[in-house]
Amino acid sequence: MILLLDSDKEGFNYCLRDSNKTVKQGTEQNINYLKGKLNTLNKTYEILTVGYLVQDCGRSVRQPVSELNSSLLENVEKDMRFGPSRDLPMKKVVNLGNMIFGNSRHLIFCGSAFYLNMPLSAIAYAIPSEDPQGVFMRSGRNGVIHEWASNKLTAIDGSKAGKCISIFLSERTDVVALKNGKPVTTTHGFSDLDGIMSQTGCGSIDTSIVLQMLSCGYSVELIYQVLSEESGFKSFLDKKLRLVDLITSKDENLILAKDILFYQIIKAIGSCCAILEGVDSIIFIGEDKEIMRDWAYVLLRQLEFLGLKMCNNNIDYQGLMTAADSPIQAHYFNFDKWSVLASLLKKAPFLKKHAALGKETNMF
Amino acid sequence: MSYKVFDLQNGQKVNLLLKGKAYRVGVKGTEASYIENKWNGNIDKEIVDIPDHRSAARMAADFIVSRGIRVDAIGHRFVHGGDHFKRSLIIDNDILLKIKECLPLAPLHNPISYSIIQEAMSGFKDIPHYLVIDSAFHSTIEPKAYHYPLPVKVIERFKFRKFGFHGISYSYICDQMPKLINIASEKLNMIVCHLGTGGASVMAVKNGVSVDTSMGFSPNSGLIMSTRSGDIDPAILLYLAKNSGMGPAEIEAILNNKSGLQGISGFSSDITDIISHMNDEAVEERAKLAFEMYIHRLKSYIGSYIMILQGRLNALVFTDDVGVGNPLIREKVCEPLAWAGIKIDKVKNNEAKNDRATFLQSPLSKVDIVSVPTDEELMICLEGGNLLGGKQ
Repeated sequence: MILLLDSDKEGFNYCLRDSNKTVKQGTEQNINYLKGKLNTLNKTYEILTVGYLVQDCGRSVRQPVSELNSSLLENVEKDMRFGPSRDLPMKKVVNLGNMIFGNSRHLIFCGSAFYLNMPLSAIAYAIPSEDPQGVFMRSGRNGVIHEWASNKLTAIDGSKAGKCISIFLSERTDVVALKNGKPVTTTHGFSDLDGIMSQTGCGSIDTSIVLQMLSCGYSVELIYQVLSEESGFKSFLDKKLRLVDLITSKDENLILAKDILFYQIIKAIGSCCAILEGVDSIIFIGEDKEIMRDWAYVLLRQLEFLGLKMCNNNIDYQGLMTAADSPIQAHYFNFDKWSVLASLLKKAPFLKKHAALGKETNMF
Repeated sequence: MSYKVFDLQNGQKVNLLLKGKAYRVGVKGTEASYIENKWNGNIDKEIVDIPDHRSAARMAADFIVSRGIRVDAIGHRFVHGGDHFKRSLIIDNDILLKIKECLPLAPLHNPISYSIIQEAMSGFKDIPHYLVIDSAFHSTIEPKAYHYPLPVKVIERFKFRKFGFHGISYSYICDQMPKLINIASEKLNMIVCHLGTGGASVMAVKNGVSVDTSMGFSPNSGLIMSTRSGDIDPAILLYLAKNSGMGPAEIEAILNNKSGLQGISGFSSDITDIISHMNDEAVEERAKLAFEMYIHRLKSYIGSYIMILQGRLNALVFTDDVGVGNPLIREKVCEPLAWAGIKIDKVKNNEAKNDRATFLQSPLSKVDIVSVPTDEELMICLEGGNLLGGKQ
């Protein structure tokens, strides 16, 4: 059995899988509850592999899935460059996993590895640096998901994968331009703050805002708290909302929030078109819910001028949203994070090698 | 710093008497600074060290007086009036105090404007001086484009919102374009790239009014500029504040004075310098990166504005010194936009003059591409005519 772990604004998430099926999954609000849950799972099931989804591993992890050993972990920690936004909760989870599942194989799923070869002009910021590939660069996020979607598109119709825009609709939406399956630009920045506004994050803002707050005596920690925990969707209703809740809400206070989110996504798609010099296909990745697919259609209708031929809101079994003869095709891919992570394991060559040798190794 | 002296009769009829511009004021680079004055077909160019804008203003004032011109009123562009100034007004002592309060809002512009106003008011004591506000033009931008999704209490305390700048220049372009492409102003959809030697921004115009622009609460956001970073992740500032020991003033100085093209290239803040060094082995790599990043950011913004206009675009306009003076930038920006019906004619582009409006599109282009020299001073002059009742 394999245990998969990650963390987000909702808490610490776990999923226990066996032969492509989820046996158990859930979310714990704090690390102590997670510890209790993992101890119980350890007593009940034989867990051979533990996988951790870490969104930003800096440049230490160059593959979407890697064996996690102590030196790799040390490098990842060094690359976690800015405090709370850099997956510090996952550091706790990794330590906990190692303690409880000492005899299991430990793997790291890396969200940023996908972006390591993006052009420098797309990832560098225009600030002074001895090394243009220094600390401050766009790192990308959800690479595992965008790569999965890109591969899925290639499998359906490789001829449409040349210039592709991939939009992950979630509490932390991001948009990536892909050229022949490789990312060439992304909305995600150096940290989770940059890009499209999120559930509680401000997204791209004028940096003078930070300077004004610093000048008026706000501490770094307080500003980070405001920008990462009290902004985004939450700033409109002072309440944490899921994307589905936001787009279905009738609350008047949320009309502007919906408008802004919609507007930012549309602008990001336009930026990607300019960088790709056009577009062959558009992928929406989101939950398996009708309301999300409907919303993707609303977004898509804004893009009709590009030459898309729409069909009547009937997504086929391959997720096709446009007419079969549309010069630009659009797909909606239902997304289940745990299935995507599990599918990556099948492709990892080193795991096949281990399986052939029939051995499990404690990497710590 | 640039200036023009107009003869304005009855608040409407305008004759240009004299104009001048100080180049490379306080700029670090490989060329010297100079001031150029033009009148009656004459050109007076003086290569001289111009350490700051107040010195440039003094040189301009001396030249105007030396030509025997009587000045009746002086209009000043003011970039960021925050909540204090939302329309043009005559400067008195109270206004001067409020101007001082606005200095931190645009640290690269407002202090310079203030120093020029001080110099002008000391040199021309008994005449009216007035302010024209650069951000006022963007008051038509809708909340979805100007609102920052921050907590209400923070928005209310600091009055954070996108203001947008270069409004005087954009106002001139919006005045000129309907005549140039023969379209009613209220039907005009276009994207305007104001690319200056210092600042740069892009604006989307829908039905004749500004609907979005790349600069935000301050003139530091948006495009990569000569020494300004443009858009960067806000967490970078927090990282610097936490780990480098720098205070907000030092970080602000880096973002405003040492970033942008200067920060990337390490040797120049001037895009022309950078382009000319792209084959210079010593700095080739950095020069190319600076150029590529400049183009990447600019075309990203244009792409995003094409999308919000849903492709209904009459024109793509390039203005200000770099916009009208640099064909390579126009070419590299337009080349990847064929998907939006934008096709540039390379010959027309290379032959365009920077002192007149020039069409640059190929016959296959669905969108007009136009290089238009801006005239902020004319707009300031006309605004003064309105403000002073057409009597000056």
